[in-house]
Amino acid sequence: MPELDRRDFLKIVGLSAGAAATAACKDPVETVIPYLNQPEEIIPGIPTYYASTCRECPSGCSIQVKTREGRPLKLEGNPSDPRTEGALCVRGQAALARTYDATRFEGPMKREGERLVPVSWEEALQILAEKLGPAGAAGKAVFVSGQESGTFDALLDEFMAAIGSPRRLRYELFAHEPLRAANEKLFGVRDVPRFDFGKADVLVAFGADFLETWLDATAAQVGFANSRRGGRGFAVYVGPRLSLSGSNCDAWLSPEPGSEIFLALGLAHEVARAKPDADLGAVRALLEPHTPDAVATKTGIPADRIRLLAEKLASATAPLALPPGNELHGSNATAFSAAVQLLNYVSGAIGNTVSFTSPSALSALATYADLKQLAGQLEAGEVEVLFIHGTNPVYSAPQLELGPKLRKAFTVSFASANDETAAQADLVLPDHTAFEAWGDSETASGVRTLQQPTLNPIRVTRQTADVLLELARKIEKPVPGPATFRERLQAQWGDLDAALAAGGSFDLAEPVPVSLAADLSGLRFEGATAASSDGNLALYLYPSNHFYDGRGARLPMLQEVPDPVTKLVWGSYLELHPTTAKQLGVVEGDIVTVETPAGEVRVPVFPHETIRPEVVALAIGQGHQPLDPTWLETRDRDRLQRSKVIGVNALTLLPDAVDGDSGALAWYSSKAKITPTGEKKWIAKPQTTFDQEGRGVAQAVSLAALARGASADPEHGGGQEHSGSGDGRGEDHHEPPYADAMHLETEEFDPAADAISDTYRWGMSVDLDACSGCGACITACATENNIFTIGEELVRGGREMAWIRLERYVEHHEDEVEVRHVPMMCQHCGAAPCEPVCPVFATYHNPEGLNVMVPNRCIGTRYCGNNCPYKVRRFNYFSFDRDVESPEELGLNPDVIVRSKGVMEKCSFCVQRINAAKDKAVIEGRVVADGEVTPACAQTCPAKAIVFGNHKDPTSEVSKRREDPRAYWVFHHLNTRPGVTYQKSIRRNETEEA
Amino acid sequence: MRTSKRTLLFIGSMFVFAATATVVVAASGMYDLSDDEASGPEQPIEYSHALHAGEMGINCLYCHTGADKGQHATVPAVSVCWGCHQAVKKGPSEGSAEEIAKIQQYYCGQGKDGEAAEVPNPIKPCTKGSSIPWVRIHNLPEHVQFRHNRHVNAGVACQECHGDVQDMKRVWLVPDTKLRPSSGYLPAQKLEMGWCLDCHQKNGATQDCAACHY
Repeated sequence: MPELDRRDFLKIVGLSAGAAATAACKDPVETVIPYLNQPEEIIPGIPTYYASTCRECPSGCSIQVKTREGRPLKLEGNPSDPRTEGALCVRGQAALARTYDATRFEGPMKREGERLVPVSWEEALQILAEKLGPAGAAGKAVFVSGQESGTFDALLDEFMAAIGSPRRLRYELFAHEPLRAANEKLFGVRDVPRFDFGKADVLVAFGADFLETWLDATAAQVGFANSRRGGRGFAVYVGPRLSLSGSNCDAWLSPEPGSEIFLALGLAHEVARAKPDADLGAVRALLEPHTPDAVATKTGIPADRIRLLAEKLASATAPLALPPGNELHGSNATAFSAAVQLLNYVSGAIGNTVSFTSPSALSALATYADLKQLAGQLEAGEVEVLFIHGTNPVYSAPQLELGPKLRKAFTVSFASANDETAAQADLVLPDHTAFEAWGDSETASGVRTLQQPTLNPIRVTRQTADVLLELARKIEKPVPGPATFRERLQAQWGDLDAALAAGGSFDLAEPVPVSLAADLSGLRFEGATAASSDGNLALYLYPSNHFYDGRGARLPMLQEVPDPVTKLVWGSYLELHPTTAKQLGVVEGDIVTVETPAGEVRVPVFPHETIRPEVVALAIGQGHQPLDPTWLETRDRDRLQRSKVIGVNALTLLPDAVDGDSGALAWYSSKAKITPTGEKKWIAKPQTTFDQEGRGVAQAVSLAALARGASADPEHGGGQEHSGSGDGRGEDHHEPPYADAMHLETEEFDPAADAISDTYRWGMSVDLDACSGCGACITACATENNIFTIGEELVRGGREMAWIRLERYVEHHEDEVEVRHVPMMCQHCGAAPCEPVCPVFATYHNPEGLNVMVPNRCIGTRYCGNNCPYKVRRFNYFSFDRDVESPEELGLNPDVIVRSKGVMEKCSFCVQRINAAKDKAVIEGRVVADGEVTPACAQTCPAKAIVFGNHKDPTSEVSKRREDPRAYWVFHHLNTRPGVTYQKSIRRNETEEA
Repeated sequence: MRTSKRTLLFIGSMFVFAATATVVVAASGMYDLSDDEASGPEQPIEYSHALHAGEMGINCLYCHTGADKGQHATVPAVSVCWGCHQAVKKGPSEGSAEEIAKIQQYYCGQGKDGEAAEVPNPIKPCTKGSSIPWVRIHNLPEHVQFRHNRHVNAGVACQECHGDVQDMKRVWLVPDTKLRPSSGYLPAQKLEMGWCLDCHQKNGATQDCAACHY
């Protein structure tokens, strides 16, 4: 027998140890639990879609809920909804987290001292019935709801009438009071019109964040993008801070704070002058004093520029001016809205792009003055029972100090999770969340959407409508009509099943013509005035794209999506211009106190250039009380900061100043005093610079250059360039600082070649001209792909997990700035730098051109992440999967692996969707057709900026877009051969004709 | 000092012996082929595939309806069992009546005194019962996405992976007895990746990681 060497010895030892280990492992016993009766529409493993309605904001977009085995997993817009065409916004995509929220109320609670203690439904209803009987009879019960429409709204009316106290308030923070009041003065219609973005060719937005929270923002995004395809359209933003909406416009006019109204009047004056034949009645006289020169003096905008813009508006076929949103509601809010509507009138937009229909749900909203009146009634003891449903006035109207006042009445909250108002309630009767409940809504006249339950309630909750019906029976004042809400819906809709299959009925109501009031003498146009506490900087509060009026702040996923302008997460930041910061002697992260006559907050500063120097801006929506005071002590969720106050509630800075004509709170009415505290905060900042440093990530081409074809365009920004290299891809061609690497650039790069497969080379195309930077793709991706939220501390350490991010770059052209948004995800490079460095082939190039990441193969060297020039690979530094707290796991997508600690992950082009489409195609014996696979980001994009498809199919949309003269590849000079084609954004110049 | 050849040989042979013994023990522990054990774990109901699929020749897809449609073959809903067994109360083997009676207990629930919580009705399904907690035999790890429909539609017989289920009284995970390089020349479990790939290689099916892992 030969000598046993070390090698053989180890082999035998290893083998026996391995075998012993195998023998020792026994799989735990798992069970398969089949249905008792399998529902016909469900096959386990195959998703079932239900049409429903998103209730994240009052817009009520119709959605399709993807469910698996009775659990909603993903929301997608309903393509039948004419407003959204299948899109859904950043908030809507995150909405499911509300249902699977571990800190939701477990069941009904009643107040015992300072605490809310659990109670049974029977007892809760008994307590309430005893209070409500006498209070109702005395007319001392009030119902405060959010914006409701449809059957539930009608039920509330009937319920309050039945119990004998028909007092209601539909309270929303964004109630558009000035616009409604202005329309009443001008047209005799106290309502909000419909703005047709899809039609508009010249748009002027007066501080309305129309792509973010203003009215139906998703519908606006869809229309705005549609109206600008192919370089059409021209948009101007007026306001002191370049919001996300503003950054998507082609010009930014920033008048002196408070003088914005005069710009609207000046434009109207010029447009009226350009139309000498038009019969404008008294309007001409009204506009007489507002000549461009007079306006230029007041606003600081050159008269020539006003004339130029007015010319554009006057010659437009579908001009559209947007009245101010809350952020520009000053002491003159109604007059300002009226001025903008007058501009719409003289330019011919009324009846064209601005149309009134039958009364919209917005027309019934309460004003801030109404809420103030209620506060007075509460204080005076004129309210005995107060119902609060779907709104959080204690948070959103801090001026009224409603908290102690709510305690004076018997307050009943229907909140399904804790908020500031529910914390003051005497009784909490938690409602189902939107995905557990029935409902319908009609936000836009004629578009009626249905809402249906898609999962069994996971907590001991009851639908408020049914609670009210039962309550009315209990106090022997039953509401007439069917006994349950479901039956009421049935009665309203007739064939409910057919309506549910469609999601509702979608016939936008025909416009109703309006005419200008004969007497306009009541209109007085004055600049906005500002209250001051020896401060000199105008305080500009704006609604948050992610949190709406603050309701989204509860969702960690939304906290972690970087703000579309500052790109900051998990907090409040005072935005100011760098020169202002210099004057104050503060730098980024310095904590300052912001003081107004109403209050003061402490907040870190974030200087950036897209804001006027005399203005400081703060987003609303943050600064909620710790979300779970009743039982959070027992839970360790510190990393997600649920037990901490995140940011500050900016609304506390607003004095109780009201725009007299409309009863709206005047937001833009204070000056703030900023005092540095000397303290500093380490800001969590996923994007560290807005400067492209000449790398040409976000490229643009001017409209004129595009029309000329491949010739030099001196005006593109983003670094040096060399003029047309003759590759037919336009002149905006970047030479990187390391130009000697340019020889690597493959001139005849063809993405279709980068795959072994004869049939497929998957690829994506992103149209930067359409992309608005709203962030819907980020939350859609996170929901689809089980991406975890990791909290502020880890984001600060650069460990964010998002597979797709939106980069924002600011370009400077003389005294103008231009903002560009770039969605950045894995580029699925044909020659991917990440692949050769993986020691275990956990990432590799698959035959269909995907850069595949196999998380269960990864050993966590992170070489790939280091080698990726796009920084799109994300590493699991911690066991985020183990922090999933019941019932959050119900919302995980079973089609995508839940990654654990120590593995890399990244965008997979939603390979689960590719495979599902291929399954279908292979079984049917065909290839996957164009448009059959839509990744989550592309599906939800309101601007349809992202397109996915097969590069090998020459007729596919991605192939066509690849041949577009605007096409380019990011970091192409590194020879990565990306599978993602970008299309340059188009710069529309004021002075050029489209 | 150099250890003598003899000592080394002794140590070596002890290791070889230990290794062999471990392998044998391990293998027999995993795949006990005795009549009782060979047929897999005890199930809540002594359901026999040998009878249903074998003797009576009921098509697999009659019960496992998802196999040609989606990723899961699916275990039939209790109502499917009940569909036949509300009429068929007794099978050919001894003790079958008691086993069949369990279906009703699961389906319609069991109230006091062994009476059904719900009275079974041939038209109206029971809703108050509880499902049957079948013990899972073929269990893929969560990082594998397997799609039955692709395999069934490609003409792969169920038996290729699940063994001769139609002959099994109790279903068990039949070992792959061939000693292949992919399994290190050890008896391999079915449903392991090497075993999947063997078949994929032979049939020219995809060997792309992304086909199953994402």
